[in-house]
Amino acid sequence: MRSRAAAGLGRASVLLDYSARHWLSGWWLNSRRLIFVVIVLAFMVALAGFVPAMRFQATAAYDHAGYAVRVNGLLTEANVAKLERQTGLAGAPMSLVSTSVLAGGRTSSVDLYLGRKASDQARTCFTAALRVSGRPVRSAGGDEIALDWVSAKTLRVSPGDRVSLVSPLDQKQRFPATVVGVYASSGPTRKAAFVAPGAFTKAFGAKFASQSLGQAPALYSDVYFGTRGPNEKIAVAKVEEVAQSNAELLVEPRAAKGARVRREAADLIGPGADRLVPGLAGLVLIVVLLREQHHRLRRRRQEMGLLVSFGFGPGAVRRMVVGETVIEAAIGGALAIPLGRWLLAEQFQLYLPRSSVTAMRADLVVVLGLVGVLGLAQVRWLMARYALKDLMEGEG
Amino acid sequence: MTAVLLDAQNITISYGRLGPQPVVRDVSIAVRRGQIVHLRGPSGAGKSSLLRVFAGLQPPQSGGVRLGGVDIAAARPGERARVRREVVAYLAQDPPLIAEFDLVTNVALPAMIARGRRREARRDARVWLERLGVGARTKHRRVEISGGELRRAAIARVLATGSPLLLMDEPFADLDAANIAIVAAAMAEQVCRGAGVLLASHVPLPAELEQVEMYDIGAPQPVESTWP
Repeated sequence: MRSRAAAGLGRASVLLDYSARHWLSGWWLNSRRLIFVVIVLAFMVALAGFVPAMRFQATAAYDHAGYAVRVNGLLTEANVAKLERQTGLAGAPMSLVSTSVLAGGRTSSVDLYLGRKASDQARTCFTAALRVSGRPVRSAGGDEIALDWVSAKTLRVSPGDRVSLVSPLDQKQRFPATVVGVYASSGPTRKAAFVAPGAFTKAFGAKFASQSLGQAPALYSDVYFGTRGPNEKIAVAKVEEVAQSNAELLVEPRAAKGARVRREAADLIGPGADRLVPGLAGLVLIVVLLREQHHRLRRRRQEMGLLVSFGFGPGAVRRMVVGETVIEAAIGGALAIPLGRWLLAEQFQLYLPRSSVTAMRADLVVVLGLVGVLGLAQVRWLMARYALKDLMEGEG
Repeated sequence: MTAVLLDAQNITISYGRLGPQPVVRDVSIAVRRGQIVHLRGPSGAGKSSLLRVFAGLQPPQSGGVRLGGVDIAAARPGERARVRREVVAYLAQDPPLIAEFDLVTNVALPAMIARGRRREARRDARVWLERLGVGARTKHRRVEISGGELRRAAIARVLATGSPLLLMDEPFADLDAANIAIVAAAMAEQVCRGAGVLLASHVPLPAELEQVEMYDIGAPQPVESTWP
């Protein structure tokens, strides 16, 4: 006679077989399931890249120097945050504000406009930043610079490229430099992501020595924002309005009075756009997911009842349903993250660090992913319990 | 195992959201080895509900059910699942087949679950499908067979379990006379081997089923109880 353990294993294998066949059968032909997969993929893409994507869109507006905003006071986190909230400037990525690096030109002839920090230090460090390519700047390497990744992408430069640096004080003065590294700034610490070369500091004085803004705020800083060409239809944000909206910020038109900047998504729907849009997408996704799960379990209710009538405990059926969820979510996540990165990097021309997930949000993505998987598993467990309700009265 | 396979005492079943309305009141019934009991009653009398209760799939409002000597209400979930595996085979009025499995896997499934011997279960399933005239459809799936074939496959699934107690809800629905005779003969054979059959049917039973004990819902009949 076979042992009870062997019989139990046999039952488990039947459940596994049923589950696998159910999952595989018609998967690619079932439009509902395809829609489900697309939604999960979309969610993961949004999770992995939507916020960086929006931020990149903002940086794309700064192709050419247009005008400067002078922060009349300490370049503190609070001041920078105010700057970011300004109409027409909203969405300005922290890295640009703090680095004062302006995008513009082509690889062969790139101009970098250096922000002048009255604390006489422009050189910043990367102690808390993640290097995504190249190597650190050598202290002896006078003509070496490292860029933050947004700037590097915007400028279309990578380690090894030669660029010319331009002084904001005298634009005729240029200084050749070699890009040796690209860094992803670490987010909350808001370290400046730019390293001025030592020789540049030597040429222009101690004002341009390196400094970490997060540790020692500058007295003030010139920050440059760009415009596109005059024929491009872009939303108007008159610089005067920017100035009037916050008395603490003094705006100086540098290129032309009434310079235009492109209105970004954040301007159109408010300063919280980078949270609002993914948030709404997440809500829609949750509703769709719950409906889909409910539909699937209702459709299978009769089959689950059948399995119970054959001698499975409702607990075993529930465990099967939860197991399916965990496996589906794991497969979905494993597919979605690289696909999302590919879509963002290759199709939408967005630069992402080369690590497996967006480096700046790796921890967030992992935590959200785990919470999502566990949450979905819990929801399906409850749904399975509900679906089997009248088979389970008095049973665990 | 005890000779009394099913012993139900004073079963009352109620439904209704706005207040439970009794559908079945104080039904007591017993099925022994080698016995066929025909549960009769008009539509809506509660025949299917009773069979579900007897199969351990639905708790009654009041009363007790013993399956193979085990008090279902008092049994632990694991024990209850074991009874469903080893003592009872239940044919629902609208028997579902799992869409992803072919017919032979569907029929073999309960036996696979009960005994874990896949190859043997599939062989038995083929034999029963052949015998009930669905042998040519073993590789087909639910959407590829007719209503009568589905019914016979579901009956084959019940018979293939080898369970001592067969609870069958409308086993002859969707079947023509020839197939009714085949199914009835198979059931009679199981009874001869010591199984007990409780069937609910609104059509007259075929001649192949002899010495059937009738039980009319609504006309309670005293039965000898194994309850203390």
